[in-house]
Amino acid sequence: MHSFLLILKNEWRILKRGRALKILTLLALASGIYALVYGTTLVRRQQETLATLRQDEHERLDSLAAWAGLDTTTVDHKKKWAIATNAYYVNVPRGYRYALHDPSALTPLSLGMRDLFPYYQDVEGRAIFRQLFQQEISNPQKMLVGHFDWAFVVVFLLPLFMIVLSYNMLSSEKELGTFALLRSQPVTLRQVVLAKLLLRLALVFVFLVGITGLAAFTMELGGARNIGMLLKYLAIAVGYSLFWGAVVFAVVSFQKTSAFNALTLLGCWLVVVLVLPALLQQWLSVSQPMDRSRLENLVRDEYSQRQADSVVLKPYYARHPELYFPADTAPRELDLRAYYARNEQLDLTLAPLVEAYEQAMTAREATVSRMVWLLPAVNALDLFNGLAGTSAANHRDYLRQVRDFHGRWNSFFLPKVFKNELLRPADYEQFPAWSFQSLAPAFSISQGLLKLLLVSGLVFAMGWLRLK
Amino acid sequence: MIYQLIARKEFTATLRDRRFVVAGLLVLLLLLVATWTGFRNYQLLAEKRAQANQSARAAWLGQPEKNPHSAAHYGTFAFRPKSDLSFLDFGLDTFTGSSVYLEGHRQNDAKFSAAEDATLLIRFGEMTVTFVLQLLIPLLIIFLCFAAFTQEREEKTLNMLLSQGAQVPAVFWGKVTGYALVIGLVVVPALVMAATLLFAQTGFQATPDTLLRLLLLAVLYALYFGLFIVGSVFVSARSRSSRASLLTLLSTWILACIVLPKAAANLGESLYKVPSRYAFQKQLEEDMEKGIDGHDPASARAKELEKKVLAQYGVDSVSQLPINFDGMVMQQGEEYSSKVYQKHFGELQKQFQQQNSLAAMTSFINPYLAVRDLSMGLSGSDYEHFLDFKDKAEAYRFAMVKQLNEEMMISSKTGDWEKTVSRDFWAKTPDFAYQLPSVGWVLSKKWLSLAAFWLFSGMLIISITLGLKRFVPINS
Repeated sequence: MHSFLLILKNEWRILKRGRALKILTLLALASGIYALVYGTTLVRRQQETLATLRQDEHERLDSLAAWAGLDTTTVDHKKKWAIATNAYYVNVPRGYRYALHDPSALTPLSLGMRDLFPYYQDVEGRAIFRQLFQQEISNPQKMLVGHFDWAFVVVFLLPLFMIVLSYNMLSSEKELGTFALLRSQPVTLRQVVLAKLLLRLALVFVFLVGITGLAAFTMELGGARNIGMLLKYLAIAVGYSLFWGAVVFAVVSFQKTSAFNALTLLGCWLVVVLVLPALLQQWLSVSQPMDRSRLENLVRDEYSQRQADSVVLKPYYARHPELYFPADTAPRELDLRAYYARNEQLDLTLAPLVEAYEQAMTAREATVSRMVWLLPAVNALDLFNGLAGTSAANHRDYLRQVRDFHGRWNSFFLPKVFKNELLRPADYEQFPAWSFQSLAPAFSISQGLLKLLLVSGLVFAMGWLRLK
Repeated sequence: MIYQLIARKEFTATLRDRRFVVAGLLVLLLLLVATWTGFRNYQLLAEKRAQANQSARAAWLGQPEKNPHSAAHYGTFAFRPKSDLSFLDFGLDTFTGSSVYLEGHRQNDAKFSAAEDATLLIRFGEMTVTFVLQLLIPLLIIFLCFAAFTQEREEKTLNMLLSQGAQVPAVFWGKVTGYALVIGLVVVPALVMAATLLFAQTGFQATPDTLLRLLLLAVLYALYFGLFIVGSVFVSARSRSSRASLLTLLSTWILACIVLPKAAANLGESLYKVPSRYAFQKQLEEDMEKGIDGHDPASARAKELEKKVLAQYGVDSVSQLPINFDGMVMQQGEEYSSKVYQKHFGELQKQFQQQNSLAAMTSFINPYLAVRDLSMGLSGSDYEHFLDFKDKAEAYRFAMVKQLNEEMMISSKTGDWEKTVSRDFWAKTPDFAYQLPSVGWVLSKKWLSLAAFWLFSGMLIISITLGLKRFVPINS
């Protein structure tokens, strides 16, 4: 034990006095801090947009509610009152609500797909598939290179830092001629390499904990739940660096030259972080192709079918007998019953296609998650995105919630439209409201982390057996 | 000649090095896989889009008798055809929309990018030919060249070589030539395969433009690899040890190919803000309603037009006009909205350009960025090509809607929204056929990257020539 500590202490001295550690610390800190700044900037901008939308919705609905209570003595008042008490006007063009995909507490750390998918959606009473399929404004050149967020620093850069810090752990002893001296000590080679590796891992952990703490501080993460998620986040980062520690250990165990180690380690990095994921991505796009570009054509074709009102209303009433009212109490200014029937028909036609698309997406993801043993970098990023609520699955869940909300929004208004009832000011209190339920807090990392640790253990064992 | 001798020596020695042969074969394998999968992917997409375009056209032609304005609402679709060379470089195609809905009253965005269908793997890049060419081959070059001089120095053969009367520049360029031949062995088979696939696809009838693009791509990458070889051998010549040379080269690679491009794009995005879709739409609507300058409301514009037209025809109400005034108002609205849209879309593009300007500036010191940009441009998968498609689709939409509005104007009277046109009218709208712009157009758009690449190459060659004069063969 004593000699183990001695190696640790010596190694620390050597590292401390060398140039590499200083440069690396500077680089790591700079990239870590920049990543935090970048992530929070992007999320803050999105939050500003969300706040504008909230305000827009608030003002619109409030003024409509006020109009609904106006006395109808003047022409202007009467016009406003007529709009605000008409269920269709409020349900579709005037009172639409925004379904907002609020970022979760950890989103700035791992932005995932947040730049690819829209994070808000106006929900009106017309067919939901006439409203979805939007794209947020985003610079394609930026999307191509991806985010420089904390997840990027951990998944892509941290292994590089570790490689630079440790590729010559053992070979430098040989190259400097101190190897024989080292071997003459009463310690095994395993102990030596392990001590050196542990020291470097400890440095990496200090860095991880430091930036995580900084993140908690700057992002004002409060509450046990958020801190718990941040700790999970840290656990994945630690697990992922253990994997790279194991890789370093395995490569060093071959006891080759520094140049060989540097090249081999960079090769490993290249394969794990770039080549394998890119290859799989390419393979997926060929083996499991998908295409939804024609969904929009279908929406148009379906909606521009010219069918008589009675033709669309008959099956509609069969589906919704509760909305059938044979006699009107008052004359209708606008008869929108067939309009709603057409819109629902469109949704019903498209739903199975969208369902099939989502299943194809899930199948692609399932393929990826089956391969995740071989892809620790993908595994780590997937876990990060899951915790941050920024994965493609999170977006699909958000869309599901949007569709649910669309259903609730319509079931409030449609009986009034069909009964030809006016909205009362009191109804405004009862409008269905959007509330987003994030999957992130319930996201479990245990399986992914276990896979990461098992693979690390396997690689480490290889090195251990080799190093005698 | 010592130069040829050294070139041959490096070439033979490398081929006898088992490690390099393995690495080279792996890269070649990746290159072939990338070519093949890229080509399959391209075929799938190209086929689908061609079909989609055909069925959109068929739907347009198959419209029943209807009012021209309903046809404008019905609209049609433009699917972006894949350019012939995009299988080599997917460029931004994955991230830009693949189809635009062309209808009256509004300019829709291109939607449905392939990136939305991808899993999180898209964040790791795509194994395209250019991925291998831009990132992996340089690494192979580093692997090949880092010990070019340092090893001779460490094994004390450099002094022997120089004492035989070999000049340093001859040794240097000899080595460079030898390595270049080796890299050629790795790259050329894939290039041949790519060219064959391309010609097989087009029935061996590729246009001269495509051929020229392919040729320029080949030249571009030859220069890019040359730059890396020259640079790596030079670093090796100036380094104390193989280890130092390797570390310098690897960190340069990491910085130039991984960190800088990302940091530049991200910083650009943080510095220059683009509006959200919501804010963008709102601005469009406001300008449409109140006028671009804020003092020309839509209602006033319509009144103005009415006054003008009534005076022109010498009547006092629109119902007396021989034409359908509604068609005229709609066409005026279309022209105005087009102006408004061009203004805001132009501003947005300027903002994007600002965001990209950091990357453009760094391309003067980072040839990877210049080559990436040029390669995308030549492959027809860059943003400029996307904008070109979008512009042409918009021009088509505008002409289509104009034709419909004019038909409505002349074939019916004001207030008549029921008057239909016959089925054969739809064929009068020409088919949307997108033509890829020429190579000349690409080069004119890419002058900055071209300049950056030439400038960097020139500076590198000059500093190497100067550096070789002050070459110190032995470590002091």
